[in-house]
Amino acid sequence: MTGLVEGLQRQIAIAMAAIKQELAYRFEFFTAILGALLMTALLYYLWTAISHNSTSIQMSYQALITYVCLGQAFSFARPGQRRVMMRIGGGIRNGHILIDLIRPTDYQMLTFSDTCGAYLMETLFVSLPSYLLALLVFGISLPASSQAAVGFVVSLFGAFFLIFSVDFMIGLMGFWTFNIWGFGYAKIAILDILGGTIIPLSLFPDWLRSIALALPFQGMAYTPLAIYIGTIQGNSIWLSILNQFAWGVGLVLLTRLIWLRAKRRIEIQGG
Amino acid sequence: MTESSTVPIIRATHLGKTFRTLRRKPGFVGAIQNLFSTDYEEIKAADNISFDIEAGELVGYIGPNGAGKSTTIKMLTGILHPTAGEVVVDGLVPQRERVRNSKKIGVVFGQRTQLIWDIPPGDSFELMRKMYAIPQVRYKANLQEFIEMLELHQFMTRPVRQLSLGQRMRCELAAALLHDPKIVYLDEPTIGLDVVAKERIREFILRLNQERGTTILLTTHDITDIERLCQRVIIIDKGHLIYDGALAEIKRQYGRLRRVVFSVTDHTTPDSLSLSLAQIGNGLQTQTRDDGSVVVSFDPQQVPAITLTRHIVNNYPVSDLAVEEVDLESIIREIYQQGIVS
Repeated sequence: MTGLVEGLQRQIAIAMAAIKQELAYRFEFFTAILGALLMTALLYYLWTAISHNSTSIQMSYQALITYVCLGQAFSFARPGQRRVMMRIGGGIRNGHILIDLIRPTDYQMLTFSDTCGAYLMETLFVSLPSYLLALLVFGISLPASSQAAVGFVVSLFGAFFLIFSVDFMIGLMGFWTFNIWGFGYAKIAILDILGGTIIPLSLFPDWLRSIALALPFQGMAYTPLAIYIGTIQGNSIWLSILNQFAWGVGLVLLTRLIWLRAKRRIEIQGG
Repeated sequence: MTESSTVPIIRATHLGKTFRTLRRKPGFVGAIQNLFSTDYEEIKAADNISFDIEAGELVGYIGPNGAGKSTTIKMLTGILHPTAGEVVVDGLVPQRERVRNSKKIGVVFGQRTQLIWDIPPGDSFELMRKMYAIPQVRYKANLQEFIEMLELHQFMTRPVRQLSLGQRMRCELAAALLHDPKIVYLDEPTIGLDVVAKERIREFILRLNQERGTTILLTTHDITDIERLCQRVIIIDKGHLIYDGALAEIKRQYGRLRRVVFSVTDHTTPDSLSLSLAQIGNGLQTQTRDDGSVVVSFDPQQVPAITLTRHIVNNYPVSDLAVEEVDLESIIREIYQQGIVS
């Protein structure tokens, strides 16, 4: 029992340290908000132009705008959201992973707690302000229902869980390739397209949508966003969240396996 | 306690680590070829290294750059998996029980920081308290003691990135020791520090060992660190253990040698000099330095210094002459360059 409490306190302390670290660079939050707003504006005008000139879009203009603007505010593809990859990939490249590995805690758990802290800060100081500004400036809608609001928040946790596993896995690739920036960019592209961040999956051609829905990436953007605007509603909300967590557990187990293999390969760079 | 005193606290047996690295070709074409190359090269960073360290010892672990010191330390901490042999640290195999082992050890890597870069060291200490579940009373007492001994108070509130290397290293030591580790690995803790900062760190290490009985394995390139701190040294080179024993023994074996260093104004060759010196005694070694001066090493018990210098002055046009003692640094340099001659 005391071991459990100590373990929990340890992980909270790791998250707290990440929070303090994020807070040390206050200016970064403003630039991140600015970047998010610019991307939001870009997509807002793009989709406004598309929907005014197209008759085949099966989503209402308001829902579409809400979807893409919200997608930018809570985007996991944002540069600031790359902490896990930076920590593992960078740590392998410059040897700093050594320090994480002398700690009396599981490495995956340590990176998870660290990311939780950083993600909390990102949500409070970048995502939420960007969301509020999108509400005010671009006039996006509030959640479709109170159930949609709750579903959206829960599903954000699911999305975080998924993205953490994917980032961790990409970070681990560093044990084989020593440089993972290529994977990082591929991830952003996949998240933007297959995740449905830039184009709602509902607008995909049927065959592509079926593929996207069968992959875990949809859970990182499409699921929470579609719940928010009411495309996914009723019992489907909980089913899609279940889907997210099922993928989450699967990916955690997979990353665990990769980690156990990677651990034996550790060759610390330099000295 | 009685049981553990008979078993060494660290035991490395036939430890080996082989890295496989891609043989990389230079140049643009080479870089492209590298993408598809499977031309691997095996590098033995550690080969058949065995040693025992008793609880409470302070051992210097030295060797030239790339000798395999850090590789050994990483195997002792459980981070690297040896490709041969085994380590047992205080009854545990660190690779198998990394987390349990990590609670008993403290590590300082002089070339890396374990403090959180963007925030004050106090926050990192706080993280260590939770990380190692240090009881509040112990934490406070230790922190207080370290703050005093290492004089940390002036910069406890400044972000780590603004600290000087010396200040940072003092904080690193504190961070690594707050949880009362039984065993401490110090990997070049004095690297890049000025003489005053080095001395402060040495005093701290010595007190840690003497007052708390902490077992310390120290790697360093600073011979003064070794002279001031260690009674026993382990020397490795190219992955092989080449010496393990008392520091005093190295000094006894090599330290009685002296050297005569002199310059001549004509073109006397070292060969002719060796021949002529052989007439006055055994065990004389002649070398020429890059600046043209000649160095003759001798054992004063076999050839008195006065006999040797008189012979040189009488037979050669000497412009400058000095008799030197061989210091530990030269001994170690010689060992690195030529290996142990026994």
